[in-house]
Amino acid sequence: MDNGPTLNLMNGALAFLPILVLLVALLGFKWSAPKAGAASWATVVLLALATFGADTNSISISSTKGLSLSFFVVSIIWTSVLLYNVVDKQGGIKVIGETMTRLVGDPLAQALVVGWAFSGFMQGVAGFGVPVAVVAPLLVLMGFSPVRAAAIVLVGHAWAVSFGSMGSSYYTIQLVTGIEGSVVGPHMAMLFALPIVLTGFAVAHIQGGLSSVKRGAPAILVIGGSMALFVWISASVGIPQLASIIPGLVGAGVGWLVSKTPLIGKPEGHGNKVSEHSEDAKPAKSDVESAVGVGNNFHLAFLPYYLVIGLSILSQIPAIKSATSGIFFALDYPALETALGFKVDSAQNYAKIALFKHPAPLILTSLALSYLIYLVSNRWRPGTLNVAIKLTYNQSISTTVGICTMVMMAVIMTDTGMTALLGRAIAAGTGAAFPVFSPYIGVLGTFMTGSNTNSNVMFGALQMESAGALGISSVTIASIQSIGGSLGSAIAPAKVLVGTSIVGLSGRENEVMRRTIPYCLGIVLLVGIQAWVFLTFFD
Amino acid sequence: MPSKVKLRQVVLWVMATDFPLLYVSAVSLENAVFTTVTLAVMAAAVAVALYSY
Repeated sequence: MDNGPTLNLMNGALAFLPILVLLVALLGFKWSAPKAGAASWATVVLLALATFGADTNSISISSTKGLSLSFFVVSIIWTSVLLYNVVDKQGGIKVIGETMTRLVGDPLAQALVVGWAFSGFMQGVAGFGVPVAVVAPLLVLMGFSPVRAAAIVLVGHAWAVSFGSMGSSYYTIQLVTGIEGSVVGPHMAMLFALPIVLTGFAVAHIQGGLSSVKRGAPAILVIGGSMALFVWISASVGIPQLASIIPGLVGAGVGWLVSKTPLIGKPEGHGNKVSEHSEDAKPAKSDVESAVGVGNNFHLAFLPYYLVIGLSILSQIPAIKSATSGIFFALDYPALETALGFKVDSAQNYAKIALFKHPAPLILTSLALSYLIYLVSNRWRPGTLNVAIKLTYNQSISTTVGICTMVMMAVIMTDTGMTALLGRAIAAGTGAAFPVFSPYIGVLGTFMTGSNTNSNVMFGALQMESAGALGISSVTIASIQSIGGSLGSAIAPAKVLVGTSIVGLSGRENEVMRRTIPYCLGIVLLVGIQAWVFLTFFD
Repeated sequence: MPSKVKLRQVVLWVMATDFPLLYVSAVSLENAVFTTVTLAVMAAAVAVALYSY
């Protein structure tokens, strides 16, 4: 929106102040996301009132819009974490993980199947640090050193974050940019092909250096190609919330098949990094009780996720779509105008949560059906739901407050013209090279907040403003913002901390980050160059 | 004085409760006094978040 105050040094610097406060709070003072978000919300409110022409009414409306967006995202987080906890308490996560472990023997194949493909699947169904929390210990169980295990899963799951957590980051980039999912989804999926394959090569390099890269190259291209294809198919046929789940499963399946073929060469003797594996480190057979819970049955363990996949596909059937299209929760917001003349259009059905389209109702329905099936088949462990709800509540409080404060801050910045000013400043500063730098802005957001979703909220509108000012494709820029945010998960302290704490490396986060940072920044550079080439020669 | 863990829960519930009140005061009723009060409640919740996290 080309309106409001003209960019100058003073208002550009003031517009950057809330982000600077967030950066200093998170990185300088090492505050948690809720605390840093609170500080930046307070900063943006004071700035908006004092210098950007807002009043208490417009601040209230923008804050409420921020809470509407937060509710849209947080509802996905709460339900997906609840589903994960229920499956875990039923003994399912252990069975799923151990089944994966038993199926693949070669360490490189294990790194690719479990650390790359399966972690992407876990990001699809749960996200929010769960892949790191679940897969890193599995890799240690398989015989990987803790540092290597944490680094593999941090880099390995990074391809799946944007479409992960039932698509929460993807839905957010749609909401903040106003680009239809049918447009940005397939485009983002296409641009994701390169980083998907590159994260596979990075995982192989972390696992066994250049020798693993060489012997794994054909397999990585086959697995990565399959995953990239299914990301694109999922995004194109209208099931973007499954665009990490399905490719993750496909990748794990293809990886398993490939591990049985000569596509993955033999390890070069015992002198390489494979030697950290030993037979003693092989996982024990499942000790999950078979009398209650899901026992050792993979399909029973996987039932809730089968149902999520099935319901998501059902929800795309046109008859069901049209029959349920009128059932949704959304709020309308009026147009706003600051005293400096910055105008924001009114918004109808803002952050719409449709009953049979939004992931949260689908997850809750699959949870209810799973409960009934487990109950009827005497598989339900009494007390599971109570424990899972309490756990989910305790796990999600900080994330929720962090998202609410940061999203409110981001919307106030957008509605008062600060984001527009920043966008113009970045566009003026980088010029034609902006597409190369654009994904790093996404990385920055995830690095600061530990969340691709938060990154998209914070910087999505800013990226659009920059693209608009430079006259380049907003769809490509929105896509690489989210891709950068996705890849930033490999180096986000919040996620690294999850990985290090769960594999017993607390206090040694630097060792893990030293491993992941070069891969992350290198892959993001190639993503930026890819976007620049696309925009320059093909758009 | 409640513990910081309790205060974090209070922040969450105050924000959740204040959300509909903010909407009603600022959008539905367009009442300046009610809006200022609900915004002040949100500011108080944010201040508690700053302390408790």
